[in-house]
Amino acid sequence: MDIELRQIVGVSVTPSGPVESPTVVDRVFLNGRQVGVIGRHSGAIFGPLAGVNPLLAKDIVAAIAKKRAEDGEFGPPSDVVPSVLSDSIDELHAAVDAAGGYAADDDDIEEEIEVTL
Amino acid sequence: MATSGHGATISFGTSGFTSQFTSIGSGSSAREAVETTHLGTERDTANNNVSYKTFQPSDLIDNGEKELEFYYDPAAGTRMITKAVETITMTYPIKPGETSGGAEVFEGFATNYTRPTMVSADLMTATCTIKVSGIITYSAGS
Repeated sequence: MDIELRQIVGVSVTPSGPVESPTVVDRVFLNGRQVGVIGRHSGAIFGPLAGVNPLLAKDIVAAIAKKRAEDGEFGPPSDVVPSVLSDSIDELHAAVDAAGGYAADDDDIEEEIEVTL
Repeated sequence: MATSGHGATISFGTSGFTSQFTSIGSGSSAREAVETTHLGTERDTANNNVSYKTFQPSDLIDNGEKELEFYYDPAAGTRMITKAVETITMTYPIKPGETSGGAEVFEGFATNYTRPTMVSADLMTATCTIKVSGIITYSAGS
């Protein structure tokens, strides 16, 4: 999973000109498109954008944890995955398992991202 | 170009509160006008010698509140009122041609939570007021 984290940097206009204001939040990109945000600290909870389902969010959080472990700048994020769908993650897992596992659904998930974001 | 708010999200960095939001009110920023009128403030001799009050902007800005409306989830909504100050990120919808949405990042906490009205044939909705504490950092989408 090609995950990229880019710190959100705002710009404030002051009498002496624009000043960059780094925030404590990263944008999360999957395959070059933003899929959510996450705080720049250990235990931060991933905030998905609209259209990111819980199954994908769980994979994204795992990828963020791996990347942050490699970078060594922060500890791992929280493994809590906010869900905005009515189906529970367990129910979705069960549905995926019934359909033959994750591999069968990977293409569908990626296709959904391109359509919904 | 004008765009709708469809696709906007708000993320709570520590509590992880989330729901199916139906409205995210951006709120407003305000500052007081501090009166600077003095005994020597200029008179308007052409209009019966009246004087006009003068003001300067206060150096304190209140960044207001964010009003959230969302479908009620008994498992999530009621606890927001108990949470501490946390980093909150509001993301604007991603425009055509962009790969990321504009964002507002700020510190905030819930000051009000309104429970849902329960009626037949209608979804339960709740509202929550988030008080902004301090500066809001704006970042454009790209």
